[in-house]
Amino acid sequence: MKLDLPVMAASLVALAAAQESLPALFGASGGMKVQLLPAVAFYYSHARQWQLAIFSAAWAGVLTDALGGLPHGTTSISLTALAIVALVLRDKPAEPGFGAAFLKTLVWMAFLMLVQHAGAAMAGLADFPASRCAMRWLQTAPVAAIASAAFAKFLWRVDLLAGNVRLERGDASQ
Amino acid sequence: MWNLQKASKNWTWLVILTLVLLCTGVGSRFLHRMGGEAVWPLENGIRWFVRGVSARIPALIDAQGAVRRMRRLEDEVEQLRLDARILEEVALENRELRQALGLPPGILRKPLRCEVISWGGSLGWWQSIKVSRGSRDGVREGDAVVSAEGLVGRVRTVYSDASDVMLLTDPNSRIACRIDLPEGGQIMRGVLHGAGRRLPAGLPEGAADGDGLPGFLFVAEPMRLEYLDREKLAGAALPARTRVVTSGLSGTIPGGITVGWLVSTSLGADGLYGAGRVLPAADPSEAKALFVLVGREAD
Repeated sequence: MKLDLPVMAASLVALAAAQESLPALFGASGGMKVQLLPAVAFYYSHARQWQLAIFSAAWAGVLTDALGGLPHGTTSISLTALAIVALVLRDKPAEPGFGAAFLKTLVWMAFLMLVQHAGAAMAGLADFPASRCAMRWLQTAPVAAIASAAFAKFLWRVDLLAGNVRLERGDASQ
Repeated sequence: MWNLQKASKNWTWLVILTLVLLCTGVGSRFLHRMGGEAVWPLENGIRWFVRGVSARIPALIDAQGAVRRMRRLEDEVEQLRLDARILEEVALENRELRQALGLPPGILRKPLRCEVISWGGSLGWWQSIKVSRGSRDGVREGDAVVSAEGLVGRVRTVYSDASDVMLLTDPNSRIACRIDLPEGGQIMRGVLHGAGRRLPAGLPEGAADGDGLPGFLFVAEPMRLEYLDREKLAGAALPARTRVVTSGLSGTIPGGITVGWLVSTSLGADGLYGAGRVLPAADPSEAKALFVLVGREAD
């Protein structure tokens, strides 16, 4: 577990840089970019301890708000809330399956985009109706969901390599 | 699945500290700035790699074409250096004239070349770009960013080595502008709004930009010049594509920088003010180089 923090920090920074550098995939979404940072929170809230889940969700949200020009707390609080809900609903910590991760991320993205629009509107920054969020969700959430599911698999293997998670015969444990 | 050991107490304290910071908002500006500072080096590295690869591939495919282009650029640079020396003489003469007339010395702006690191920020909601100059280079919030064609936007957030620039087309953009009327040396002033903003009630539909949705980052849409003097607007015979320039009244953006071209004008229903649609002069996606106008005191 000693390398949990470096792995988490590296994941957050790398995904934030990728999210900033990648162009908007669909011009019709008004230039909306695919959100990759929630993938970190998604992995930790389904596969690791609750402390890591909440910590990663909060800082993924802080990075999203800071780099996206949103008021402080908009994404960080909502992403933390999603992580807490996932922690409460999960049966046991487990590596999420690809299909389940895809569907859950779609739900996460819908909630996040609505909250982000509300936060921006309250700060007087949003200049388009909430209904536009539906179009943006349709165009960006599926790609974000695929990225989230793939990243969960990747990060689990990184944790294995880093020794944060150990595999034993017939079972994986730390 | 696996069995997890309990996380150490350090993690619990980290979570408590994080939640306290989030809920109280203490240090929010610091956190936001640190987020940008942490990501910028990796972003810059990605840009460096992509630029390096994209620059070398055409040279490998067409080496002779690259040599021809290099020689043409060298000739242009020499011409520009000569032009710059001539303009330095003009600037010196201008300063002497201002002193002789008793006018206060102006704040000179030094153009600082910068590169575009990324487009649209992290979410892509705001029409913005990130450029490779920051506080260490003397950049401050509100500084103008220009290309050879005209004003591109203004600096919104400054990091140590990078800056976020809000483009003219962003719905939150407001620039004080003026139109030099063709007759009588009159000046008509107004406020330039980025595309997509819902207009106040009373202005005719022709002055609106459709449904108020944000425009695409890479598409130049007409912007709106509002609060134009109705008497001057009614009496002026504005030629097609009248030039709109910055007025300099904000104090941060120098006056006289080309913003765009007036496409159409109309008076509001109440007849108090008019509005015009402006086509941006500069397209940052096609500009070969961008410059940040950093301020320095006149000599």
